[in-house]
This record gives sequence, C-alpha cells and structure tokens, in this order.
Amino acid sequence: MALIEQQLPKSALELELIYQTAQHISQLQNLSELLPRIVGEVSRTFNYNSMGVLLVEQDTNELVVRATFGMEREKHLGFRLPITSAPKGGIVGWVAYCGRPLLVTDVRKSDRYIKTIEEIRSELAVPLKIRDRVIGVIDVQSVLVDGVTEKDKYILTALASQIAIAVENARLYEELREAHNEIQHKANQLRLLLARTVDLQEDERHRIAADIHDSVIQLVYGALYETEGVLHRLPDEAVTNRSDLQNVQTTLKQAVSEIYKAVYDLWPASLDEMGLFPSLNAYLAQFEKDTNIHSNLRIHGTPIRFMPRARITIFRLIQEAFHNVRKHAQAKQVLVIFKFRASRVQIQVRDDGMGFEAEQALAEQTHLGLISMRERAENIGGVFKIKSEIGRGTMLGWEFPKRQIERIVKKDE
Amino acid sequence: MNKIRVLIADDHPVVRRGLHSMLTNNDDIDVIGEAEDSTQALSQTDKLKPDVVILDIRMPGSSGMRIIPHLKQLHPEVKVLMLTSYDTDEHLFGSLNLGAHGFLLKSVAHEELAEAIRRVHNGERQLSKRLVGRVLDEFETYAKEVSRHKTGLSSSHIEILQLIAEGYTNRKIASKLHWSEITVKRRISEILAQLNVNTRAQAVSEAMKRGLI
Repeated sequence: MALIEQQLPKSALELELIYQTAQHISQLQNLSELLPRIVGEVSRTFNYNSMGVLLVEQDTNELVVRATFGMEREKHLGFRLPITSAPKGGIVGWVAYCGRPLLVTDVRKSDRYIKTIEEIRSELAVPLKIRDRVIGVIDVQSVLVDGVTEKDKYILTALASQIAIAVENARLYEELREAHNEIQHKANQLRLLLARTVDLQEDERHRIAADIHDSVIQLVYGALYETEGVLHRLPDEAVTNRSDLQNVQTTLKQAVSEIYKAVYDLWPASLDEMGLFPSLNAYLAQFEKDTNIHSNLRIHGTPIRFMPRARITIFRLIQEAFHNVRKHAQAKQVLVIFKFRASRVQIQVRDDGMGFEAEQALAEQTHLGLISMRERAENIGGVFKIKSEIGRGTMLGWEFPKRQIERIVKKDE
Repeated sequence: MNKIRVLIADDHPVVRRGLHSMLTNNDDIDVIGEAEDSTQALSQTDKLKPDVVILDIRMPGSSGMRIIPHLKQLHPEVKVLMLTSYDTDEHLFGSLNLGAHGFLLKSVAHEELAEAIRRVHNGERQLSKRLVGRVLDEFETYAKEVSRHKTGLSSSHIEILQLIAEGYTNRKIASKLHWSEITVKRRISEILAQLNVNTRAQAVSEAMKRGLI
C-alpha cells in the first residue's frame, strides 16, 4: 500500500496534464502529425531532456525512431535497433522484447545502455502495447542521475496505453486511407479504361459497318442487277428458269435488307451525315413499328451540333433506354425530350410503364445497364439521373455541359 | 432512233457488270463505257461524250459528288444521275445542290432505273420515290425559314407562337421555356408588333396564314 502511494503522482496538476496530453493526441489521425505532437507535448509537460517514439517494424523485427524531441533530436530520426533482450538492442530493444518498462537511473551502471548523447545520465523506456502486442516504445532521457524516476514510470505507463491506442488508430486510419486512395485510383483507371474500350469498340463497329457497306452490299447489288439483266434476256418459253431466277432475286433482296439491318445495329450510318435528330427519328419510327409503343421526340430550345463522340454516346444511351422500355416497362408511350439551355443540354427518356425501384437498383448496383448508362454519360462529362416509382413510369435523365458536347464549326470549314 | 448513250462509273466491277447486263435489255439505252473511279469518269466523259453518266458516290480517291461541278462545267449537255446506297441528307441534298439531275438508290428496280435515265436525258430531274418526301420536307423548312426571315421574327418568337397556338398561357410558356413571365410578355408584344396585329389570336392566325407555324 505504501509503495503504491509513493508511486502516485502527488499533484492534481500532474493528473490533469496526463489527461490533457492524452486528449490532445487522441484527436490526431495522421501518424506524421501525431508522433511529433506526442514527443513535444510529453517532453514539455514533464521536462525531459530528450525523448523519442520508436515503432516496431515487423518485417525486420526492429524498432525505428519515428519522432524525437530535445537534445540532438535530428541525429536520431530513422535510427534502428533490434528487438532483443541481448545488449545490442539497448534499453528500448529489451523493453520491446519483454513488453515491460525499464527504468535506468544511472546509465553508466547499465550494460544495456547504448550511448548516443554524451550528457545523458538516466533513461526510461515504456512499451506501447495494444492488448499484449508491442507496437512501439517511448523513451525519455535526462542529463541528471535519477533525472527520471518511478514517478515518471508511472506517468508514462499511464500515458502509454493512450498513446498506443492513438498510434494504432492513426496507423489503421492511414492504412485505410491508403487503401481508399488505392481503390480510388484503381476505380479511376477502370473508368478510363472503360471509356477507352467503349471508344475503341465504337471505332471498330464504325469501321466494320463501313467495310460491309462498301463491299458486301455492293456485291449483292451487282448480283441483283445481273440476274435482272439475265431475266429480261430469257426466252419467253423458259418459264422454270425465270421463276428460279426470281427466287434468287428474292433471296438477294432479303440478303440486302438483312445486311442493312446488321450494319445499322453496328453503326447507324445516318448519324454521321444526317446528324442525331434525323437518326433518332428514324430509330423511334422503327421502334414504334416493332413494338407498338408510341414514341415521340421533342426538342426545346435551339439545338447544337454535337461532337461525334457525344453524338454516338447519346444515341447509344437512348437506344439502351428504349431497349429497357421494350424489355421491362410494359409502356404504351415513350417520350424523348431534349432541352437546350444556355450552357447545358438535358435529355430525358420518359415512359408510362410499370416503373421499378430505381434508387435501390442503382444503389445496389444490380442493374448493369443503368450503371453503364451512368458511366457512358460521365465519360463525356455528363451526369445521369433516374426517377421511377412502381406503377408510375420511369424517367431516365442526362445532363451535359454544352461545352463538353458541342462541336464548334469554324466559318471556313 | 438515237439510243441514249450511258457511261457507268462505279468502283465495283460486279456492280458495273450487273448494271451493264440490266440496261442492255433496253432498246433505247446503250452502255458505251465504264469507269472505276472519279478520274476515269471525267476522262471517259471527255472521250466518249455520253448523254448520261451514272455516278456512284463512294469511290476510292475522290467522291463521285466532287466531280459533278467539273462534269457540268466541261460538258453542260451531259446529264448526271447519282446511283448510290447512301440515302443520307448530306449526299442527297449535296448532290442536288451541286447540280446532279437525278438521285437514285441502288435498291432501284430495273424499270425505275431505265425510266430515270430517259427522264434525265429529257431534261427532267428524277429522285428515288422514297426520297421525294424528304426533299419536300426540306423545301417546307426552307420556305418557312424564308417566310420567317421576311417578318423579322426570331426562332424563339416562332416557338412562342407555336405554344400559343397549342393553347398555352403566358405562365405555362414561361415555365416551359424557363423564362420569366415578363420576358414572355415582352416577346409576345414584339411578335404582335412585327406581325402588325393586336391580339394573341390574331397573331396565331396571321402566323398560320404566312406559313410560319
């Protein structure tokens, strides 16, 4: 009992200092801020001549001096010591190894003491522990024999548990932040890659469509014309030949129309020359014919000329939206609205179908189509919105800054 | 009877052969030569002096469209009949602007092609049937634009007129166009002044009369 009383800090001031110090340091989440702060606060409060925080490096089983304060502080930063009970670990190596504090009141009498500062006479090292695991050591030194005492051991041990938690939190926080940054970085890379893939895919589709159009379709036309010529030169009595040839012609015509359809799916050629709205009108007309869903396009404001990349993106977004309407909505009517504002362009696709839990689908990332619609819009600087309620239809909306999608045509072009 | 002398310019031999085979059946049409690109089309026209050049648009080197002005300048008497698988506005209106006499799609049937050759030879202009509507639409837009230009109204004035005609109130117009009601009122009074009328209803009827909406 007497021993314990003797170890207790005498004044309320010291208690208050411990409390405040612990308070200050526990708020910092950044190791590079936290550690200097710890050594600064503690050294100033308790008047140590030199102080250091050393953290365990697990890979090497060493302690590394991560923050210092007081005499010759610069010299010791980054200094490494093995974690061992052998003398080469010094006092701190032993403390980290054993997980117990060690007070040396006169270093000249200790064979563990490793001399770094000439004037030092006493040293106290206290382990930083999370449960039973040592994560580091705090070390304080004095130029006086008995400059550090049992009382300091008591204070620093009390502080050490707070410091250990703060250090561990900061370390975890840093790890988390690094992981977060890494994920962000990866996500950005992925987004760029996706954008690039989409662009490449569109280029490729464009090229293939043009190739088919310029070669295959021309050949079929040639064959059609030739059969037509032959047909007219057949003698009147060649009835069987005539009907055979007419069958060939029918097949060739079917081939042309099938190829046109395939080419259109690959790349709506009208987009290049006629522009977005005539292409959309044609698409809507075909959609209405195929599905019996009323389809309309409305344009408010003065339309702009689109950059080619924006044009195909917007066309694909609307195609995808219509694809969804056809597949899921059970709608009677679908409406595409373009609003050209001073600096923005808004596009909406509204249907009067059965609707769905849009926010949930987007939040849970279950609907890849919606996610890809958002990503594609973001690729050209836009944002994607969705509003839907069960039984009340669906509104898909995109908004683009004009300068990101407008093609500025020079006068002499 | 003088046969119509035709030159076929297309980069695909199969297409040329097919056209040749198809047109040979007409007693009044004679295919006198072929060209596989725009340069050849010009030189063959110089050499053979055809009555009608059937001209593909997409050919290696320069596009068929680009030689229309040269053909017209060097051989004003030669008629140019575009035959293409591209039905885009750019090609259609571009060709007509440059002075092509006809514009046919490659899906053309034999009789339609032969008839088109006869007609352009006679000095008429000829279009594939499904393109006629587009040309008329374009003309309508153009006519409206000219008419609007004469009245001094802007395109936003016309937009307001359309909305008034659809029964929109000033407030509804304002919210639809994202303007203030004051702006809408000011625009409407501009419209009334330009059209020289006193009421919204008169403005609508005047605009319809002039083909503005």
